[in-house]
Amino acid sequence: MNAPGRPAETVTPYRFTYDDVLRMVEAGILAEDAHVELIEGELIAVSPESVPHVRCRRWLTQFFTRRLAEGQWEVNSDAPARLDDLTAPEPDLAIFPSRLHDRDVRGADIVLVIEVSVSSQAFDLGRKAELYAQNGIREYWVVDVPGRQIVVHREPSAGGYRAVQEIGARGSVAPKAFPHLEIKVADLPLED
Amino acid sequence: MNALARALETSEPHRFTLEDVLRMQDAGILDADARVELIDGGLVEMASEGAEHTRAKMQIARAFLAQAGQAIQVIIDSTLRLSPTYAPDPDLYAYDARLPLDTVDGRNVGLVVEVAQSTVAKDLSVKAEFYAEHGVRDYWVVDVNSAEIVVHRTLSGGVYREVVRYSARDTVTSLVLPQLSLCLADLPPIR
Repeated sequence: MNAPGRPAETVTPYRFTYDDVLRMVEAGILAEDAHVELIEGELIAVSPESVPHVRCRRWLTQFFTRRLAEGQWEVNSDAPARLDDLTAPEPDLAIFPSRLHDRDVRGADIVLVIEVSVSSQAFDLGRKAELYAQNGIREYWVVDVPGRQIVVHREPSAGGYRAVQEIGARGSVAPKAFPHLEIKVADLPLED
Repeated sequence: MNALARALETSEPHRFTLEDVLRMQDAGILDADARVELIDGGLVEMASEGAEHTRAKMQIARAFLAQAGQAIQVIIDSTLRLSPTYAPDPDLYAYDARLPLDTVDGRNVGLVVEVAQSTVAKDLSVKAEFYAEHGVRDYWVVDVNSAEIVVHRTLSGGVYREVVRYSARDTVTSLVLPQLSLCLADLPPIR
């Protein structure tokens, strides 16, 4: 009789590097705007952006762009963060010092990553959080749109973020790197 | 995070087609010595073979080729295209020689044989599942560790209803291509 479940650990996925992905785009095997992220050598499909997702991401991008000195900080939205050869997610927001070239930015250089979660909470709070922590990203927020909260992750370590806090509808939070930039959850565009 | 939590995540892998993989090979994107299979659109690394595995496979291949004649095609170590996103490389498969190779799929293939040394669990579970899903009527796993043949038959609802272990002294005959039969104890040894 066939086994009821699929033991994932007995199948070894072939691992692609970020360079492989660039070559796939060159060769037309992947569309240039393909909705995929490279996570530990595996290409994960990302659902196309929904309206609530776009709205929230834009709000956050504008919030930080307007308040951070242009020559000093890059506020990147939807650009690949090459954490290592095998992992290059595209965070909804990533903030790092301007003096660094996109190509040279590594996890520890990034002071804040934000993912807006409309339906991807399990992945964003799970595997993604692990990866961001392992790569030294100092602070990681998951804006849970339907849950109307921000889950703030701090103190990255090899085993994940050691300090995780949920900020609910009446709360507010500022990134450790920019303590004067407080965001009230109530100000975020989280309604349907 | 534990494996169960991971399994509950909603992230979907990007699925490649066999066409994509062939283009990757052409473009030199895959390592030249990569041994991969396409399983549900994902590229999977094939375990490297032990000596026992190779020996058993060649013994079985010789036995089948001797029995096959002109009527049956026996393919060793090559791709069986079950669907655009499932293209494993079974150790052996056999089909009616009148069928053009590029039309052979799960439903019209006569017999699929996997030889297992270190991959027994996977061959009996993950592989049995997708061979069944794609209509393979007769699927054998030759377990070289125990010298047994595990025969999977009687597809119903995309699942094998009959899974029977045969010992080295038993003779197993192909359902669809009865010229092919195998008795592990009778195979001449390859040193």
